Amino acid sequence: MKKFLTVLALTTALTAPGFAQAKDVTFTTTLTNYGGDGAYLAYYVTDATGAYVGSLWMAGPKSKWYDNLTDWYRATGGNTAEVNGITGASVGAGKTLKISFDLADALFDAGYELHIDASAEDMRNSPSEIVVPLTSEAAGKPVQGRTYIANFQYDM
Amino acid sequence: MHILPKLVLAAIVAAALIAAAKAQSPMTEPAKAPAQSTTGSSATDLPARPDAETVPVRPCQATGQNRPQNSRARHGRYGEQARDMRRAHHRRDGHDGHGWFHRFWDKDSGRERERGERRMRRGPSDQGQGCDQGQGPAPAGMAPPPANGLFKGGSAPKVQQN
Repeated sequence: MKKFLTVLALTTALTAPGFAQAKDVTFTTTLTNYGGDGAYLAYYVTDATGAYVGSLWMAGPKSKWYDNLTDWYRATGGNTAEVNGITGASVGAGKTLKISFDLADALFDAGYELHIDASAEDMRNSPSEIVVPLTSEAAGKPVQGRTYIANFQYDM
Repeated sequence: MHILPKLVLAAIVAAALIAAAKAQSPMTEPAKAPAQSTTGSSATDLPARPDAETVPVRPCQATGQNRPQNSRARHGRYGEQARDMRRAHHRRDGHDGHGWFHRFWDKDSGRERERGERRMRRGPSDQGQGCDQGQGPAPAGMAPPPANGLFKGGSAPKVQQN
């Protein structure tokens, strides 16, 4: 029994710092019934000065439409390497997209903001439709969008 | 009695005209290797054929910025692409036997040109070949997330849409 407890304590001590540095975060985005084709959404992070830090998700597979996600495109120059391996399908009107991440703990309560740019074919572009601070306080609180996004919230 | 020799004469004249026209037709002209000029200053020297040039292949760019500046010059009826389309069409349909007289009676060239113009109006095809396909980055699961310091452990996000 003593041996088991020692091993348990040892494994906990080894794995706990790893867990402390990462956060399981879920983004939930529900779109309005805007009556168009699937919307392209770009999720990305800016720092306290508003400078682009990195992308978290790109809903929309074809890079030829990325220039409609104007703020993201301006920040990245449309570089698809920024969303390599974090790209999925566009999101239909009225649908809900749930994305689960294992994000760096340092991202929260440090002045970072999450932006979501949105666009749909033959409809207006909506840059930074959602801008929310990445803080423990803002987590779990729904935020309304302007054009395509009915509401967005992140939980951790 | 005099009709038969006249018919024969007319047939011979017609055959001679057709043969002369075939000889003049650029489509039936056999491909010749360009003559090497020893002087380099002769007035009969032909400029190098454009299809003999080796054009370097440009790498695909991610954002469709490789579209030519003057797309009319490339895609118009008289542009490079139109020339390539004409050549491909003649190769495919074997128009060489028709000669000069039949060059204006090509039934399907109009249809093909129409198809080509429609394709140009629509823009780059999603299923097309070449660089400007508008194809995007690697989807989630096919490549690791970018090393931007936001993701822990390099695990791809999990997505659910309903």
